[in-house]
Amino acid sequence: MNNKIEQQSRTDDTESVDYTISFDSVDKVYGADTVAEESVVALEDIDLDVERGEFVSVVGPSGCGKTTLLHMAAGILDATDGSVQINGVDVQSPQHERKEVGLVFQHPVALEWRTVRKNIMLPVQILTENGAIDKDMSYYEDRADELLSLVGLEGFGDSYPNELSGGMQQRVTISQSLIYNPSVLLMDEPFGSLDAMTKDELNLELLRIWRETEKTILFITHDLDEAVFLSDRVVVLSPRPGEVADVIDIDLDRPRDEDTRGTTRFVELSAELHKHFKSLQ
Amino acid sequence: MIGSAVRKLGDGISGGGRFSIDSDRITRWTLSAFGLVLLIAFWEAVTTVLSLNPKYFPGPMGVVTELIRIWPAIVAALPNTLSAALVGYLLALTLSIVIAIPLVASDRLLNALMPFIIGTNTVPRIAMTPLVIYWVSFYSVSMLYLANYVMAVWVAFFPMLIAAIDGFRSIDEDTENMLEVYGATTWQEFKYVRFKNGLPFIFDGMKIGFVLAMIGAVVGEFVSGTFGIGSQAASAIGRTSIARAFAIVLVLGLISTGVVLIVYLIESKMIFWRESSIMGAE
Repeated sequence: MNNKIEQQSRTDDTESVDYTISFDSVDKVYGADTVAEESVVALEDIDLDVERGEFVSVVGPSGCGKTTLLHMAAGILDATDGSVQINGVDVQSPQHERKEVGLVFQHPVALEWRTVRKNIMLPVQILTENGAIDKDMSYYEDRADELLSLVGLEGFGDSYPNELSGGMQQRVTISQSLIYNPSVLLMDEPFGSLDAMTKDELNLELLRIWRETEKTILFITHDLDEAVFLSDRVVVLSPRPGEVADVIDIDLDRPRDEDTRGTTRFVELSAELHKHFKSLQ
Repeated sequence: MIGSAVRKLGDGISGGGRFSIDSDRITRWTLSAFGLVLLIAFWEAVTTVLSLNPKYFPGPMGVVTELIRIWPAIVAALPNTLSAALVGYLLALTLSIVIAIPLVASDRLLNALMPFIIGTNTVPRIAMTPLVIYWVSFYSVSMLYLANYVMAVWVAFFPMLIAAIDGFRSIDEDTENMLEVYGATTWQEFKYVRFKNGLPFIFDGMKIGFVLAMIGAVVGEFVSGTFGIGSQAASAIGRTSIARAFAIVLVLGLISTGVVLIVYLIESKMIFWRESSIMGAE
């Protein structure tokens, strides 16, 4: 029921702390391998461990390398130095299991010619063909139905993306990243392009999904209040080069709801985060 | 950049314009018909009022009369030209897609060949007609008509290739990253995203492509003199039968428009998720 307790008992079982996402002295330099171009240090000496079941947000000014950090965790980008591991396996090694990672982008990536259901099933088709997952198709079809109701899209399975609003499309993308049941969910400003009301609504929904599915979430945002509201910890990155400037523990009670934003503790934490953020500029 | 080049080429041929079948299509079709009738009436009026010599400046009535008179000759000449244009077109289309796949799959290959592709696309390929005919005659004089097929392919291929390359490449970065996270192979990228995503570009290319294939086949006949509607037009002009030349051009135009319309109808059925454009230009 209470996620914190569950998480605690799990770590006790395994004795050593079980990090799901782990950045170990990671540097990312763009243009490091070319002589002609000037190289740009995007991230420097990043040490960050996210525990199993934890919700960690990364905030920072634009251009501080937030997305780069996430893309390295997703295996889209290589670290120049250091290592990025998911479940103890380097993401660039062949042993890395793609089915362990789900990625949600800022903009919905639903394919226009596929129905909502077929969009959600796309990763299953690809991963099955490549032998990365081996459950029956019917298992995932049932799961797609469950996800549709989990994200509040019952009855929209046969609709096409252009028949849905931006917020609904983003729910499709979230379902798509959950269909193969990854242990880690990487989210890159997933609600950044939505209006404030839809954003608040989806924040609550994300917390509910997180609670029900027990994922480990690494969440990128530039919205400090959103970060406080959602997270167990908020990581503040400094700009150029991106370094971990602060890590703030968010000790707000869970489960959180609409009223959480009105509590004194929320306001305090938000003010503290804003202060940290301001000192960077 | 390449796409806009193709679209500009389309503008040059079709005059651009965007027609779509939706709520007010009837108004638009009525206006189009009205415009056409007005233009024909104006043409007829000019020739009558200025009492132009119909031998050199035939009016629409003269052209239609001539068309009816020479209809059997046109029907006899059409199959050769049409088969050169159609076969050349389908061959160019198939080649363009088959060749675009490895080019899009490998950035290196694309970078190595792009200067050649863009260069050849920019060259007035029609100017190569005598050379093509020379080479074909070298191979077999009795099969000189093959030159018309070669010309149709040669003229239509490059714009369609560029459209296909553009289309297959036009997936956004997030989608590309998503496919990478799932570990999609190059083939899976094509199968699940690139083919469907490229369709609007490919259909645009197809609309330009048929018009170009027709030009290739007709000019091939002009120069080679092999029997067909192109050589009929050339001989009509040679004998100052202007009305006859007009009648032939009219038939060619109607056929091209018909094929473009068919391509458009297939497109709007296949690409149901967005509005189609009747011309190869947006």
